[in-house]
Amino acid sequence: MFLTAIITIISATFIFGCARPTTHIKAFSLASEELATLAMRGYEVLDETTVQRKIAEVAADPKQIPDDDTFVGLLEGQEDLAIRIMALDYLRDYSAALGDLSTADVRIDIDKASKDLYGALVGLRDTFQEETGKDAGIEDEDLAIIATAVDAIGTVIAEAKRRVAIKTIVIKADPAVQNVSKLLRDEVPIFGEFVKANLSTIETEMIKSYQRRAEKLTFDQRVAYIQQIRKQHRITEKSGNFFRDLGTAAEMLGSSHAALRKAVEKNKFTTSEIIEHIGELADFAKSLREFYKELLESE
Amino acid sequence: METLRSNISDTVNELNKLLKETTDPEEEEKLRKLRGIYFKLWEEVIKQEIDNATQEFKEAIDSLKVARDAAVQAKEDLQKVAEAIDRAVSAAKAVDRIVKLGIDLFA
Repeated sequence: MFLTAIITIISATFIFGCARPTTHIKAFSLASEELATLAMRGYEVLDETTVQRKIAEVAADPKQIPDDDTFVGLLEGQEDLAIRIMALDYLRDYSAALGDLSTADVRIDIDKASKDLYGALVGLRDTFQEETGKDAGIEDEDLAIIATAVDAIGTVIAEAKRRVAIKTIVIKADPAVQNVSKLLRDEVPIFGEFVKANLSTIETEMIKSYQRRAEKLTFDQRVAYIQQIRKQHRITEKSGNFFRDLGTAAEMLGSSHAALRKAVEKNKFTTSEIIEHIGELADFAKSLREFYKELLESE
Repeated sequence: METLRSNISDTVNELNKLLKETTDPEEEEKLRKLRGIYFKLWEEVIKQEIDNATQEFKEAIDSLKVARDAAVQAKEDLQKVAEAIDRAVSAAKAVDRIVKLGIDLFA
């Protein structure tokens, strides 16, 4: 009985292992994709809270009227800042294409994933260079090697060749992924301070408005107003954690990819370290998603 | 390491706290204008590469600290709000010497 069970487990591992040894690559790509998307939302929060703060500033002073500048966010018209979102967009595309490539069943899907991957890697490289003036760490020769490896997967998909292609992609793309994740890790918390000051300014003006009007309001109206201020206060306080976590998430994207690289270099497509990283990425994505939802609900 | 952005961030937060306490319309107006100026300076600090090894940088950091201390004291004693505003103006000028935005500062 015990022997039968062991044989069943070994057989299942063998069968499923051979059929789709890259399941964790897909899970990794999904978690990375979501975190990159949430990081992009962070930049949107930066822009939106800047506009909301300007509106509060204008509204606080009856002598002021809104002008074009009132409705301009921090990133709008600032090419060098807006390019961060593009880098994240490419990082997300890269993660998605890697996941698609790891699970595609037919050649046409491999070709699509390959095309997306090429676009993402070129974009990642170019935006990083434009942003920092530094080399992203991925050359044209690397892209050619990746294209050859993907092409070798064949019309009838050979799992062994798929693994070789994924290994090549992860190794060649890793320097660019590391560079971009480090840039975001360093930068995102800076923007977090700005967002918190935006939100704190809005809260201050809500309190000032309450001060001016309180005597003329009924008890119920005052309670309702204070509840609004409380909501704003909670968002202001939480925003600091949100951006700190986004910075950590950017760092985790880099460290998870590094763990993936380490594994595939040994021809392993799943390790306990990768599984642990995937779990952490998913947990982070969950908490970030919850804050973002709360922020949207407060508008 | 000290950064201009963090010091500006802390100063804006102190100005906001002081604004909540004060009830003098003229002082409120000045504090709001100053806060707006700090946000503009902050945007420039984010955009520019700031050399933190210069004397101007050190002076700006020191001025911002003085401005914050003055704002904290003014919260306790509202007679000191005018002085806190003066300190915040001086600090904004010190930051502007670095980012060269040429903002029209009152006082």
